[in-house]
Amino acid sequence: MSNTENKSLGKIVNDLTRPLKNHKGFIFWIIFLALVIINGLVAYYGQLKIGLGTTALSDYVSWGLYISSFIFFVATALVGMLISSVLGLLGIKWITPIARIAEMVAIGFVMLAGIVIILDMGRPERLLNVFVHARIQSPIFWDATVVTFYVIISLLLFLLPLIPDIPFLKKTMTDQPKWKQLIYKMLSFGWVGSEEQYKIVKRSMRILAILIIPVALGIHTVTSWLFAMTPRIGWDSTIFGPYYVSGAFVAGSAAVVILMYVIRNTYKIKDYITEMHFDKMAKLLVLVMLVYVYFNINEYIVPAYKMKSGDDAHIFALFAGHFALMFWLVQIGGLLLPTVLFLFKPFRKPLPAMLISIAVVIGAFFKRYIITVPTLVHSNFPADNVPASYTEYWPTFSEWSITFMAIALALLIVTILAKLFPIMPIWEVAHDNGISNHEMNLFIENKQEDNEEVEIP
Amino acid sequence: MKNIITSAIFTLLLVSSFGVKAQWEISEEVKNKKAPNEISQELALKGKKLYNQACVSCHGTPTQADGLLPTATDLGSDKYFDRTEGEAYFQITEGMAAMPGFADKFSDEERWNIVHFIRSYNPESTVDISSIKTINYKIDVKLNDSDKSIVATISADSSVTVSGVKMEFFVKRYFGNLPITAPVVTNEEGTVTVAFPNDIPGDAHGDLEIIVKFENSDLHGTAEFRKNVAWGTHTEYVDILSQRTMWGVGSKAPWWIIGIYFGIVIGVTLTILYVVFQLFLLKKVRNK
Ligand code: HEC
Repeated sequence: MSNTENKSLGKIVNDLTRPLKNHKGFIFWIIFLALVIINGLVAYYGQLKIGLGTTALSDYVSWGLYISSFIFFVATALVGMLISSVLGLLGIKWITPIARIAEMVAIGFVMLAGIVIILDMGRPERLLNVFVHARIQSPIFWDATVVTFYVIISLLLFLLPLIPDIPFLKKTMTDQPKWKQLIYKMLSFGWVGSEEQYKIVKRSMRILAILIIPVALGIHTVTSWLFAMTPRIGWDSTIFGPYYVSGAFVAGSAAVVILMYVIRNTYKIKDYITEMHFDKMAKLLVLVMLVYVYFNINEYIVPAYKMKSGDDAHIFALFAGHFALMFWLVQIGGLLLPTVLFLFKPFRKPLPAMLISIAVVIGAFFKRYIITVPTLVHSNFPADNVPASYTEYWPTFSEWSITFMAIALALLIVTILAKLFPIMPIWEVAHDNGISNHEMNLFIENKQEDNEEVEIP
Repeated sequence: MKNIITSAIFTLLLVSSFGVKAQWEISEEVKNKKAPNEISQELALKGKKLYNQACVSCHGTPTQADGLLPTATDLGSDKYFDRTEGEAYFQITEGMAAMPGFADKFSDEERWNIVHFIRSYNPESTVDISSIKTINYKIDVKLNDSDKSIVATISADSSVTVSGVKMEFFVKRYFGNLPITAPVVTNEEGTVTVAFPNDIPGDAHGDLEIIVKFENSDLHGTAEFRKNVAWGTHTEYVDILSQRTMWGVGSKAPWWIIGIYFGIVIGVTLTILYVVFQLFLLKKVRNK
């Protein structure tokens, strides 16, 4: 943004609050999400009534599509930490307009990660037993803990930079329904824009930005431990923690690029989220994808070179056997090819970057499937006379419906947040455009007096 | 009510087994079928066991004609002696009318053993097991603490030889019996002596149970000797579930993991609470 001309505060406020009032096309998107969710609810009703028999899960493959999407959700949610914390703490300026998008993704996806686990339970009414009979020694318990923390911290990291925006919303959204104004009122926390208040918000954001780094690393490392802490072929790996974390950055960054594109076009804010942002995000993706490629090489070449018995069947199933098609599509189409393409400038333009990111996200989803399922189709112990159905798994229609419902719910959360609150912090954008706190306060007070046109004070 | 229905059905079954006199249809080929093993005392005794499990309720003890179902032939009576072994095998395997087939219940070998048992009542049979069950064997065992030797003497209440009988020696373990020697044959006096190994674990006091029995108890009855002696090595039993371990139940978690877990949880929670507190501080400092 620095290379474009500075915008006036009035224009900024106008540009960023206008999309919250303009609902053209929005209703179709909501109807679409609602249909997907209703379809999933019908399937879930069947699953509640009949039990997990409506899925293709069996004695052997007891973790299927649901758990794969659980890891996918957790992974995608990690981008909130990468962009607003890691890059933010490094003082990188261009993240201002996209940090809130990343935080929305984090909130939507990590909440659904928790829900997917419940969807995978045959007897969800026994959920409390998980806590009543908790074993503090179990990674599953650590995972539940750290997911909860991540939800709370992400919500706070979303809320804090929102507070200074609230006065702008209160002023401009007077023509909006009462419940919206009530929400804004509740979230204002008595904000008047004093120096002391800015200090508190900035310091609190900094504390959380630091705190969320170990928590986010924790959430995905522990998720990987759900697998790596069991001595099973394909999971029994010491690099699973960093392998998952690096993969998470790939999935999350690509998801943010897609969302950036959609928001940029529907909200008509092309001079806020600029081509430069896509260029930077694509370069960031190259970095994280290369790290992920590196971990993939380690994860597959090391066992493939040794071909220990047991490993051999697993590696063969991935490289040339039953799972080969999906494996290579994921590895090449979802990882290697996007990395190479993003090295060239034309592919870092908004539209191609978005399309490539879709391939990356789909690849990331099925990558989790490739990690979860192939290990399970082999028995953990020597076994005879195993029914053929145990060693085959492909999700049923019901499973797909429920999984899509979860994805739709995550997108619904993101949509609601993006429709209630400015897609980027007005005050931070104003700072970037050289507008002082004092000017902002004057603007708010002026507007209080006459409510007509957005004026430049 | 339920009882009435059951007994009605049972009566019907009885009546039908009286009334409908179906016929066995057995081909020559089946009749001439021969058992895979020659009849022997051992096999006939194995068959006897199975017969007492599965047949005696309907057919009664052979020769006694005391079966529950009057139509079920007494297989020890001369009415039955003209059947060939192939025929008996077929009848047991396939069944007919009220007679159930046993193809699924017993293996081939087991069904042949039952045939051998039935046919041992045939006067022409080379094997007679009717005398065997009347012998009562006795095993007397002397355990010598001085050199940990076991001296077993076999006696019988009738004039049967007890020399040349194979005896087995075990120590009782958790999931079965551990043989402490290969089977040993009794001498002329019907006696065997074995040395007890020095390195077999017992309980905390060195106690363990010694078992002496016939190698083939089908043949000689179930006489056996069991006794607890303190000949084992002392074993300290450690109840691994009573300790704080990673694999134990939640309430038995190791202290270090409880410490780390709650340390992290408390640390993160306090930090979050601090930030939340700051939120509410905003209102207070609005005029500064
Ligand atoms: C439910 C009662 C029942 C049981 C149990 C039963 N049987 Fe029978 N069995 C019968 C009846 C009734 C017949 C006569 C069938 C007929 O000729 O109509 C019969 C017939 C036979 C016959 C043929 C007799 C002949 O006259 O040809 C043989 C052999 C026989 N059973 C053997 C056995 C053996 C061996 C067993 C155990 C493995 C057994 N049965 C268990 C009821 C029973």
